[in-house]
Amino acid sequence: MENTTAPSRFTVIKALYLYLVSFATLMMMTFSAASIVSNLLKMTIFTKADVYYSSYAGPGCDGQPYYAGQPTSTPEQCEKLMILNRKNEDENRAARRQESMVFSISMFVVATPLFALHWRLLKRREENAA
Amino acid sequence: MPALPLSDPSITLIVAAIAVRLGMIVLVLGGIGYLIYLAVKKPSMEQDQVHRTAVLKSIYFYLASFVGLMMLIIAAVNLLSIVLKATIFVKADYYPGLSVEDSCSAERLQVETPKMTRAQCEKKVAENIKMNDMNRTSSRQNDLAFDFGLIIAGAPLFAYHFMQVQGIRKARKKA
Repeated sequence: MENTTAPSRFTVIKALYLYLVSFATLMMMTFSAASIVSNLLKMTIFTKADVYYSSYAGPGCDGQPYYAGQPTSTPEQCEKLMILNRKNEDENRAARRQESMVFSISMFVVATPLFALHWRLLKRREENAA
Repeated sequence: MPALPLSDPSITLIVAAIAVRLGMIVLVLGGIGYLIYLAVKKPSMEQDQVHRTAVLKSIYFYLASFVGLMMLIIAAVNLLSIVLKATIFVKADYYPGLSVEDSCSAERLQVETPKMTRAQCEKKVAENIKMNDMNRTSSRQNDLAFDFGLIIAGAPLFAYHFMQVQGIRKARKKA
């Protein structure tokens, strides 16, 4: 009959699994929390954080023809194009921020219960061993 | 093909970068191999099993402390860099571009932008300078938000796990 109290390699493998998963989920939680904090700061305090406007309005607006034969635009046309570009950039920025926030929150929500479960199992093993 | 001289600084940097990367790969693979050895080798005694579990616990807490500390260090370095750029090295990330005289000269207007007057050109140059300043501000604020995120997430991670490491060391000394 097998001695069930004999030390088993599976005990160590179980411990290794629990510590590895705890570490991986802890890292997921940490970096997603950092990303959430960063996004919140960009939305509230550092509101100019990722506001990058390009000086390029459109084809033919810099003086250099976009391709040979293309007529260049008037400065008024270029200014209208510039306003349209900035509006698009603002919308893209809002979309990028929301996408980043969604990804960070999702990662945090998924990792937290996994970490809590595995950490609780580890603590229980330690209490049993003690 | 002539041999590259090792005294060339660029070659030295490349060799150093490759050596560091190889060293890191060897360390990581070695660590993984050790963990697998710990897991796979059948423990001869119960004490051996307890010892291995204690080793795993130590590795976990030291690694988590290390990651937290790296986050804090990176954030601190970036913050210091931003402060230096804002106070002492104010031209560090300042790229003004062509001046009004160069951009709006008669030759340039005639050849490149025939439909633009000098006044319109000067207005465009002023707008470009304002946009460069805005882009610099946004880049700095982006970095600040990222750094504060690292500090707020990394500080409790490092603090808690470092305290646990100290607890483990004290328990070992008592034992």
